[in-house]
Amino acid sequence: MSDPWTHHVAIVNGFRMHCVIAGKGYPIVLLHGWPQSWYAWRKVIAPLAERFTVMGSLGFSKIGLAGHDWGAVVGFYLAYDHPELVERLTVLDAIPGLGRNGGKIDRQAARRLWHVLFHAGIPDLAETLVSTNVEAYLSYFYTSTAYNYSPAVFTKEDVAEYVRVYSSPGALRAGF
Amino acid sequence: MGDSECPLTGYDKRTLASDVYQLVTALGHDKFGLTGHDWGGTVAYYLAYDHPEVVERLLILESTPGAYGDDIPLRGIRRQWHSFFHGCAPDLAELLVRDHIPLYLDRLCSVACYNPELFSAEEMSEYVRAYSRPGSMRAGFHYYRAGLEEDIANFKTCTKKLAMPVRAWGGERFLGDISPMWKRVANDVQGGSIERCGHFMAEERPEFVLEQVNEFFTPLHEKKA
Repeated sequence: MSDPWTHHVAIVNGFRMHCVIAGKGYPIVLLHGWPQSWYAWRKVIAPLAERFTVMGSLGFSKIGLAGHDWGAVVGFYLAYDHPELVERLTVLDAIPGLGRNGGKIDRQAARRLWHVLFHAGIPDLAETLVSTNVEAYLSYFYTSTAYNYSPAVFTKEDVAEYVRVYSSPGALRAGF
Repeated sequence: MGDSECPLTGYDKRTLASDVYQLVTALGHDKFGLTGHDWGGTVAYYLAYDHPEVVERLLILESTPGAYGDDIPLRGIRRQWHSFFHGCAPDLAELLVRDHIPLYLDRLCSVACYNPELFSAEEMSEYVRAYSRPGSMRAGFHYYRAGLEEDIANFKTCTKKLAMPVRAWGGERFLGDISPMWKRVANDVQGGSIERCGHFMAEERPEFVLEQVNEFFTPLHEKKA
C-alpha cells in the first residue's frame, strides 16, 4: 500500500517550507516539535485522512490545529494572532511559555529542561558538539525514560529518519 | 580530576572534603588555613563544617556553599546551562564533549573571564591535557550531578553556622558579591565584589589573591611561630 500523503514545499516568509498533505474534508493542521519532523504524525495521518484534509495549509479560511512540543507553542501563537483562522486547538505535552508567573522555575522541572539550557547556552557550541554525534544525541531523547514512557516506540528505521533530517545543513542550528 | 585518579563515586562535596582532610592530616598538619575556588569553595565549606577543629580560617573565591533545592529564578538561569548539561545527562555530555575538549574548555573559560583573551594557548593546553585523561571529564561532570542530588540533601542538614573567620570574594563579571550567601552559613564573614575580574580570580587578579592570602593567613603563621 502506498503512503496516503504527498510531499509539498511552499515559499513562506522567504524560505522553502516542507509539508505533507493527505485526505479530503475539513482542514486540520498538525505541528511537530523537537527533535522530530512531520514523520512524528505518520501513525495518525492515514486514519485522519479518511475524514479530514490533514496538514493542508493552502487556501483554507478555517482550520483545526494540533501541536506537539514546540509545535504547540507555534500553534498557540498562530491561534493568538489569527483567532479567525483557528477554530480549535489541541495541545500535546507542551506549555505556551515560561516566565509569566513570577519568573522562577522549580528545580526538578529545570532538571528535565537541561537540553533547553544547553541549546540556548553559548551560541553555536551545542551545534558543534552534537554535529559529530547526531544519532547518539537524538536517540537520547527517543529512548531516555526521562522523556519517554516506552523506548520501544522508536524503531531503528524511525530514528534513522530523524537522524537524516537533523543531519541536513543548518537543521541542528535551527532546532537549537 | 587533574592528575588525581578518577574514582567511580564520591563526587559529593562532603566526600571530597573528607578526601582533602585525609590528605592534609596525613601530611602532618593539625591546623591550617583553607582556600577554595569554584567547586573547591564548596568542598572547603564541608571541610570547615565537618572539621572546624582543623580549619582556622576560610578564604572563598567565586563559590557558593550550596543550594537548598529552592526554585531557580529564570533570570540568570541561562548562565548555568552547563550545570544542568553536566549534571542531568553526564554520560551524554561526556560523549558529546569527547571529540571537542579544547574547544569546549576554551569557550567555557573565555565566557566567564573579564578579559576573554586571558588564557594563552599554552595555558589552555595544560587544562586540555588534564581533562583529556581517561575519566577526567566524567569526574568533572559528576561534580555537577552530585551538586543537584547529594549536595542538596547534605546542605539541608548543615544547620549550624561556621564559627571561624570567613572571607568571600566574587568577580564583578561573574558571581559578584557572594558574601550574603556565606553570611547565611557563617557568623564572621567579610568580602565583596572584585572589579576587573570574572570567575578565574587567581588567574585574572593574582596580585589581589596573593594580597588576600597573605593578609588573611599571616596572623595564623605568626601565632604558630
